[in-house]
Amino acid sequence: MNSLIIGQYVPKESIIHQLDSRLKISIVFIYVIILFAAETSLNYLLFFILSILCMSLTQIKLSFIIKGLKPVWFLIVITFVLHIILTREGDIWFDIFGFPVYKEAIIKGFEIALRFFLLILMTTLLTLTTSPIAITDAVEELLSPLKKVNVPVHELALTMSISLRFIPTLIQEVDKISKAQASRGLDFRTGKMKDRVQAIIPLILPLFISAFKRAEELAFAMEARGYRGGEGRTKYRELRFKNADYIAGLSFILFLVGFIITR
Amino acid sequence: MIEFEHVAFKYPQAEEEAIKNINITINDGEWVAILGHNGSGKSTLAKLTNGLLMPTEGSISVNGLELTEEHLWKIRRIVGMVFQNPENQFVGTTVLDDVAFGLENLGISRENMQRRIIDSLDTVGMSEYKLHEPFRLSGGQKQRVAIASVLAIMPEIMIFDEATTMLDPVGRRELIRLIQDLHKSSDLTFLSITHDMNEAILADRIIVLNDGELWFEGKPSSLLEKSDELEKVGLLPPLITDLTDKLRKNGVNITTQPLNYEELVKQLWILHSKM
Repeated sequence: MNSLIIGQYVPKESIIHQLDSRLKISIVFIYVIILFAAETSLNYLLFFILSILCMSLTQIKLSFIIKGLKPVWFLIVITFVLHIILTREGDIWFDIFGFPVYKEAIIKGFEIALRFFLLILMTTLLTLTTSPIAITDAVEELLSPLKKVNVPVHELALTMSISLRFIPTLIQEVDKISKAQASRGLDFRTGKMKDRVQAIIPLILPLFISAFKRAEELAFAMEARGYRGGEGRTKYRELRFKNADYIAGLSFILFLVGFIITR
Repeated sequence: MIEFEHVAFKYPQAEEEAIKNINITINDGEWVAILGHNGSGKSTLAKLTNGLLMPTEGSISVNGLELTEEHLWKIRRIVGMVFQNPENQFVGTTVLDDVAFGLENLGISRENMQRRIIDSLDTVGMSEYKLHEPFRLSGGQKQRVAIASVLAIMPEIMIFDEATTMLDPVGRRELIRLIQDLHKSSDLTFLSITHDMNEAILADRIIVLNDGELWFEGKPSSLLEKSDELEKVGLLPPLITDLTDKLRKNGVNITTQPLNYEELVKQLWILHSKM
């Protein structure tokens, strides 16, 4: 579980960490969309440089990121191989054991694999450098125009932050329940797949019951502290653009211009 | 001031009333402990005080405001509440966020919030933990944060609904000391719900509930006089009372009921010098 770093947050004091979370989310969002519009190799080069630049600015060790993306490497290689096998057009470049490999296939396969890699890298950098609560705040701010069409943005954000707050609590609870059930003779580590899946039920059920109880108590506690929905509420956390944010935003616009020119 | 007049409450699916015809008045600045065994209705009484539950009969008023839908939010501003489970009343992702939650609900400005958060965390001795996530705090520390969250709202009445029950002995002792200190240094009205006699006798006045009815109301020392009847309502007399009773049975003439060890020791000294 610890080997996969997608979705994890690594607290550091780097420039990227300190950027406004709204800006980071918007940049990654636009980046992902236009990545699919990339055509020329110069385009890809630009994307590659931007991603590597961001990565080096995060102060997170390269080996940590590469190791954390290990399960993803496998997917990237599979996409590449599939492309080589399935593309059947253009000039034949060379043969492997009588199997013709097309030039087009290699280029297409490489393109797709690179696109996939850059996509995962950039989104992972976002979560590595932004705390979950900052992401929640940013989502609430960015979606706030939707309030006008009655989308419960505040409620969604609050639900998200409460879920985040209870994840460690529920993990501890799962640990406790699994030990309690194991001491009663439950075995969920060995045996047939079917038995193991069935053994999960005595874990899930008590967890659900206690989660509902928690939710009820939490609702009481929130009401006692005067919670009555998003209206008339002030916010303690404040998102404010700093100079670094303007510089980062401008740099990204320059990147966009460069992308359009090289396309 | 809290006033209960002929208050009764029945849970929707229950057959019997959880609270039956209760009349209580709690004065400003007073510390009242409500004692009772499990299911005696004491937690229901706490939840009725700030409108988490509404009485089925009778009326409740807080500082002259009658508990109705109309006054509900005004009353919740006056009455702060600390619950039993430290984990399930922690809303924020960090200590700061949790204390801020109640202030955000009241629409308090950001500058004002920052000052109040620091002040209330200082009062409970948790300021150095302000950036901690809840899972890095002990139960006792979480309850301190819960108290700080309530203090930040600046209520006039604080209810502790079995706030010490789930803590380990050390955490419990520390929390009780904090509550005592708060009572001394502020003019807040305290209502503490508990089934622990040792905790209840620290209050100015004790109310004992039994099966939803008022069984006793008075000073802690006069409750201890009835120690032989306590077991009938599912309560254990504190060790100090047990000891006094046994000493009396063995011919040691202790006249006034001691509330703590110091008082007992003092009386024994007086007796000894007389003998």
